[in-house]
Amino acid sequence: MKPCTRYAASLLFATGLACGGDEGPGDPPYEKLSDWGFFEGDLVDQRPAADVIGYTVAAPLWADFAGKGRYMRLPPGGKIGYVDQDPWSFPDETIFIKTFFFDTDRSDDANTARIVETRLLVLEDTGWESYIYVWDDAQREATRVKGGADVDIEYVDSSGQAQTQLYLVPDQNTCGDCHARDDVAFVLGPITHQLNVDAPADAAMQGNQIDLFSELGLFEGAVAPAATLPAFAQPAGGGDLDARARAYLHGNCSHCHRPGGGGGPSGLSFLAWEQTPAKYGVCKVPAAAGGGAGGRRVDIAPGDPEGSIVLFRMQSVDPEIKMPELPSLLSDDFGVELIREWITALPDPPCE
Amino acid sequence: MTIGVKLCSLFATLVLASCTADGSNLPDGCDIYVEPSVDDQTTLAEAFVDAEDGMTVCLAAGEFKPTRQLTLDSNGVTLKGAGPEQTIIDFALQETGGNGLLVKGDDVTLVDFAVHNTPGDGIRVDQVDNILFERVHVIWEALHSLDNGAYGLYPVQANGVTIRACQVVGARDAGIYVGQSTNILVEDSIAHDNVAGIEIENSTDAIVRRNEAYDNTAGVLVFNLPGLDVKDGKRCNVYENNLHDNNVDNFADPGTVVGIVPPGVGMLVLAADATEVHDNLISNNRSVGVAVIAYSSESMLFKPPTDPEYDIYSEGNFIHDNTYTTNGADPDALVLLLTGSVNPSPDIIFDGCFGADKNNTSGALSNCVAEADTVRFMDADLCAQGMGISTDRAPVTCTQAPLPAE
Repeated sequence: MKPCTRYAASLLFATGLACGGDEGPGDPPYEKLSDWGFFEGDLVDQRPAADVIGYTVAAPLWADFAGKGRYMRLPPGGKIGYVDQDPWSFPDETIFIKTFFFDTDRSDDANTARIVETRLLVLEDTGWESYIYVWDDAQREATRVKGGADVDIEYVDSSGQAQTQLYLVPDQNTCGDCHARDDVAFVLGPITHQLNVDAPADAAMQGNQIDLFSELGLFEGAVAPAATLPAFAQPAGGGDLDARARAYLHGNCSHCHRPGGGGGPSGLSFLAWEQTPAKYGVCKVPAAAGGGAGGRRVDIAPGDPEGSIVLFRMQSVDPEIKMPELPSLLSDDFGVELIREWITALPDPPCE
Repeated sequence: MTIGVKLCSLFATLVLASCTADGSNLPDGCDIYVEPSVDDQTTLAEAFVDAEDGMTVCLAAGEFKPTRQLTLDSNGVTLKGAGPEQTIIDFALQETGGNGLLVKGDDVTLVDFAVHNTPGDGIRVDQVDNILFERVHVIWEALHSLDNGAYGLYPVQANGVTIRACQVVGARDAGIYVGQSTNILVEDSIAHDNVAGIEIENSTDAIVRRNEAYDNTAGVLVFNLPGLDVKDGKRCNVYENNLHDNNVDNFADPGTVVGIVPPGVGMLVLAADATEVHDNLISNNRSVGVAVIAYSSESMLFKPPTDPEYDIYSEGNFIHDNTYTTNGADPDALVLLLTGSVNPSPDIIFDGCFGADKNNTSGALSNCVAEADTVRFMDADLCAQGMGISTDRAPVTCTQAPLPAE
């Protein structure tokens, strides 16, 4: 028999911690979220430490009603390598922090958020590594999990009824299903188009985020004024329909549907800067959609949302059919209506 | 929320199940060992996270019931069960993910286990170098169900695919599907009660040998389709297979290309080049033994492709030395339409379409037949480039250079 591996040892270690053992924090990745020191005061208040910067994105990924707090920590003196189009480059030891929370009383405007998980992407010498922390009921601490967790979210809906929603915290390997292309992991939100919007209302500094990053000296070299740089329309905003729809599709689909991504072999690309309509699905015949085609013949049939595979898959909750495949369980009604409106408005010479 | 409590009990279970502190329960040859438990989703996901490059993850005999897609992303990992009828991962309760297993690491070996009842695809392997499936079964227990997943074994954009002694039953598209890949060996495997038994699509340098495909809609498909990253599939050597009784009604999604394949097809070459089909037993397929067709809108099956780099023609294919028994005895209506209602329909049908502007003085683009005189052949002249439907073998009596057999 072989001697026991590190696997068993780490499990025993995890058992001790999860069951209330009181070891020191050890080396990263820490077992407790608080050990990273991202936040000051009570962890639940998510008050960024001096070296942590909150930000937002123009076109967020739908996550089953979860709200998200987004933060970034650069190493001391570390600079971001800016490019107009993705990907930006980041110095080693950069950490992205994303906290997922739910409004537990949707019948009023009061802040009744419950935080469920916090995900980290840490740039190590092996590339971006993911670590996931699940929050306790008391909202005091979050503990690292590798294998994911099923969480029942109890909430009061807008009509005052008590409801329960299943929310899936992904396992660690699932992170790469969205973040990796050609075996290399990337951050998805922090690109020019997504960050070229105003900072969140509760952020310490107000104004356009790219301009703020410039002022803070976060970029390597000079970056032009944000107004001259590419930007996504906010999908729920009041801008041009085509721009809002393409931004939505980028934020929700392009992590897979782009060359090198998990959906790359289908030939479909939802990068917002893809200019060839056939490549973003217009009159495109699916390659291997299986039941996902739903009897529809093309990904996007201009003027015919009900004849478009894209809309069919966005509305489904069947694991075989639904898009995006991961990790959500619920359809995004807002996104469905936006894409329906967009397909309806596309000029419609019929697909051959 | 009871995460903390749940984790404790779960870790305790796993530690007991896998390995004591001195490792006395870890079987030889295993770096990680997982047994069925009350929370297979977490134990399997943890094991896959902990599987570092080169490790062997062993699955005990028994039935695992995960609820999500499981991703294996390290390189050189072996995932090993106790046998395809002993170790079963049943995904009937799966809530999320388009596949049962998703493999993204290079040089992975999957051996001796079964995947059952995935809502989507069985085992997808995405953009890797070298994947070996050996004695792996993918089974949907509800035969011909519209709820079955599309693909069983599903490597895509891989270089170096070996599928050996595997079995796929019930796929709503292709049981064994290799797409956009190179250097492929599919051997000694069984595919039945799928729409397509075995499909090689947009792939180059494949060997498909000694397999049995029966009770599918079609036994073996060699396809080239438009609009994909990897184009121009060629050189698939299909030999010593037993392709029989592929007469199941097509239960694929009507929106898919495979959804148009008529029932009763032994083997179909669509827009693929330099396929060699030889020394196979092809019997009791009610529409046709072997068909070679273009992705042509003349057939009314396909819309004109928008992909400018795509070549619609099947060229340089070579059909020889196969044994045919009672094929075409009850041809599907679509086949009758193509053949001018000849009944029984021929053993071999070519659509007769060719690229008129191409230079074929060497004959390398010709589709050739070298079969016994008793084998019935038809050129359906679908593109109206010939003199109408013809059963004359003389124009297709030629040979192409044999492909490597190993």
